[in-house]
Amino acid sequence: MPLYEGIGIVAEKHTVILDIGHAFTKCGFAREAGPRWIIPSQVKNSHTGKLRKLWDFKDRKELYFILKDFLHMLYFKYLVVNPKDRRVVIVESILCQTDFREVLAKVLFCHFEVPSVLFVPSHLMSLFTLGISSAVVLDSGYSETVVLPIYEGVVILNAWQALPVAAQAIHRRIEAEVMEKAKVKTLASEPKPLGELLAEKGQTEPLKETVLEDIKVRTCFVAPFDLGQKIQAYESGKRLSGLKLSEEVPEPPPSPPDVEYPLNGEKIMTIPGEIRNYAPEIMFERSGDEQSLASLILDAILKSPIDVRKTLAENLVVMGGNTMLPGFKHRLLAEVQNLLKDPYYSSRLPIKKIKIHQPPAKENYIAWLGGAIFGATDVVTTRSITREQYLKREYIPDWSDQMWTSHSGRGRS
Amino acid sequence: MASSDTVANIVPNGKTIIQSECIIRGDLANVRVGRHCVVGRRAVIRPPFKKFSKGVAFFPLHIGDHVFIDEGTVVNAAHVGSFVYIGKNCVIGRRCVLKDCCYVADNTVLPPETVVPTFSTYSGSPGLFSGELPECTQDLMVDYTKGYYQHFRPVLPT
Amino acid sequence: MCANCFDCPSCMHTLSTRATSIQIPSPDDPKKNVPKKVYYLACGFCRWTSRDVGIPDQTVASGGWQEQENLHSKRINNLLENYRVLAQREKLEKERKKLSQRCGYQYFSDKYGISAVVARKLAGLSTTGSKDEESKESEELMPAEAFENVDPLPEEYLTQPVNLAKVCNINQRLMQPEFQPTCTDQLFPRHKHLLVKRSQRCKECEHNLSKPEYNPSSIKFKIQLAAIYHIPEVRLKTIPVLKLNEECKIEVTLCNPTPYPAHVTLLPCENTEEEPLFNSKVVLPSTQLVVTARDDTAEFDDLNDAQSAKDDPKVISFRKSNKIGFYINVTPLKEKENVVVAFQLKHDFVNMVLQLQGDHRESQVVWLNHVLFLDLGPIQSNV
Repeated sequence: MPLYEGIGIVAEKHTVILDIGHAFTKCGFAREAGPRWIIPSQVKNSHTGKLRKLWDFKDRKELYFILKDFLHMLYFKYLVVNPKDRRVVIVESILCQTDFREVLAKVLFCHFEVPSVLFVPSHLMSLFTLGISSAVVLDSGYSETVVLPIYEGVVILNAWQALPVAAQAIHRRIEAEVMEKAKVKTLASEPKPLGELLAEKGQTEPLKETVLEDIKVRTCFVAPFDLGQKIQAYESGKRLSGLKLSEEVPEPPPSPPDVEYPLNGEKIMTIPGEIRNYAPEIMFERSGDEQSLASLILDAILKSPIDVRKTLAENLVVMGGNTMLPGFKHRLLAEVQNLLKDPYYSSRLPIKKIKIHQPPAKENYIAWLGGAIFGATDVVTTRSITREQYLKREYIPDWSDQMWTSHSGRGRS
Repeated sequence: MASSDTVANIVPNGKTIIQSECIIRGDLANVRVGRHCVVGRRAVIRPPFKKFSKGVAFFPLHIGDHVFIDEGTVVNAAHVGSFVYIGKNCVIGRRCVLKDCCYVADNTVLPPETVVPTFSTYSGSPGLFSGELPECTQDLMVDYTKGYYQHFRPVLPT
Repeated sequence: MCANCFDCPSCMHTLSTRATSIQIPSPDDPKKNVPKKVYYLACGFCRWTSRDVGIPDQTVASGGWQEQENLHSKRINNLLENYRVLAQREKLEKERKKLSQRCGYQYFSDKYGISAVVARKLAGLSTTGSKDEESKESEELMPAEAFENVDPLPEEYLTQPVNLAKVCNINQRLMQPEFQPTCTDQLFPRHKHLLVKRSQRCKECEHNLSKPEYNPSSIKFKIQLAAIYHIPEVRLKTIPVLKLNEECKIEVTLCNPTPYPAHVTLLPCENTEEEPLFNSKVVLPSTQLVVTARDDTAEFDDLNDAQSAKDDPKVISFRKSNKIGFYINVTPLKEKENVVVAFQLKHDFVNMVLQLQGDHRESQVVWLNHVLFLDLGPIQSNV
């Protein structure tokens, strides 16, 4: 790990790379092989002392204060560098709200007086970790899963696919299931269902998000394809019989062992084994509009020009913290291959092979690493928006915006 | 409370208040407490020890001026600076060093040999850095301990 | 980051170095064992030790601990180098050509695509060129290979019970971002992260506002610019039982921290419709309140100097050196909310800093206005 290269002593100061996700923020410096920190995207309000999530904001004014506090913490507690003498590269989703990026730029330029800011799209960045230029990239984070094909470095924007199924949806399912099925043992009493126990105390918010996340991270996994199909069949059969629509309930699939999960001190919750693989199953259920994570990938390929489809299918990149669940990639591949047999796709997509990449990083910071590689090049000096430019216009160009180029005189070079 | 032969080992300076049911282990080593300190009820102040191959040695414990130690806290520190606030029910582990102007929140457990720097707040178990204090902490603590002293009414034995 | 100190990967407390002695074969006589002093790291809080994860003991007390190696660092460096060269080449090319350029964000990446490298390589050298030449240049960038198969989920997930104590929680994982261990036996000590000494400067004039030293008493030149030294301080003294729609008397103290007498007037505050700032009615003293200057010697002055007390006892409750107490009348108007009142505090402020600079003009007096909110807590429910 490239540590302590003398903070602030080196002549050339490495660019700060930021990837502000909905759940976690990855931060570090260009040229390094991993982020220095991965911290929750939340900050304590300096006045009220309440924890605020970055993305829960009412208006721009509020966001400005949240981001100011957050970046202050980031620069002075975590990165420990002077914001004034380092350029910044922001890795962001192409679906990022305009409000957010504009306020972020304002905070960086006006409050922290950074010399320059460069916004780069997260999906594209993942390719820099692989040395390839075409791929279909699936990013599954906290609130949504976004698939975007890229061909020869050009983002095929009109083919993007998104589904609001990601970590948060899994957390919600764990919560619902645990409330219904988990039992809690205490020293004093017999095991009681968790729902009952919490109702007794009259708590409105039952389990904290951090507990749900912990349950997911430490106990959940993605079942293999065959077992997953059985789980889905069983659960939907149960639901149908509950609604008196069907008499038959399929055999319950074999469930993994239960887990004893300590809640606090004396309370121990028994998490039934079936929750452990049923909760992540939500990603592959083709509910609603017949969409799942697998169909997103194929739809994205379908929407791309016909001559690039084969290349895209042979270059699948998967990133985002949510994809770190054990067994995820294997299942995703199996699902995609199975879906290819579906008449809808088989008639339109004569694809034989689906290939997946293994980037040299953990899934949750692939985009960051791409940013760190990209941010180490001269591009940062030539493509960034400088403070002077920003102060003149007070405006951040959009992806497809030509205005900026004509205004800034960037065409000079 | 200290027995007569250990009293000489406990040296509180002027205007320090030691509340009832406190234990100050002057029998183990010297305990020096500065001016305008407050030691809350049921607090335990106990000089730290270190194990050596040849046995155990106790070290004297120094507490600075304008230090507030709240109820039920156990202090095993090697050194407590001036203008320090320690909350209720804390455990300050063996040989901790609390520098001047720091704050330990209620119910904090500081593991042995923790160093709490100036202008910082520590909280949780294990006690970790959780925030900063303003530059005027010194004046705030002076005001706080002086106010405590001015409003303190001892219960006289009847 | 500190080069010598480590944090416990399990609970984040600072690790301490423990010394112990082991028996090793003597260098002179292999049959005999001699004691040798070795060191390992241990956590005083959760009892984690560097021996738990198989880190070899050290013969020196500090330093020398092996670093965890990122398996991919070589590949990442290769990528870094190649893209750097590429970007540089692009820059040069641009400078040479000065073409009117296509622009926009979608485009900038295609320049760095692998296609560009390949094209240039083909145009220049044949790929089977002499090996020496290639090795002279930075290592050729190989695009990553994709695989049709990935490792399936290990069987034991379905059959083996989980020992939660051995599975890392998310904080433990994220403390080591590059490795993110899943099991506790992969935990590695983390370099201690240092806190910074904070200093603050004025954004406009660049004056140093605060520069705390590690030892607060060693600040050589202290500019006392914290508000506590300049703004009269308002504190609640007593709050009676608050009842809905009933006027109650609240005693508030006002303290003057400056060496000049303070003249304070309390003014009502306007409430806005959409975002109410306060929810109760307040009646403020109508007269100007004069608070005498702060005098550090007053503390030692036991004589209770009877001040020229011409105060209205209905407004002023007491006077003591640089402190006064006064009453405000509050009528809570909202149920189920904390009673909040607001008012403006107008006081004179004598600029002491200007005087210090040796200017012999009259000390400047500025009138300052602050809006104050007092949260008086909940009202008593009608029991």
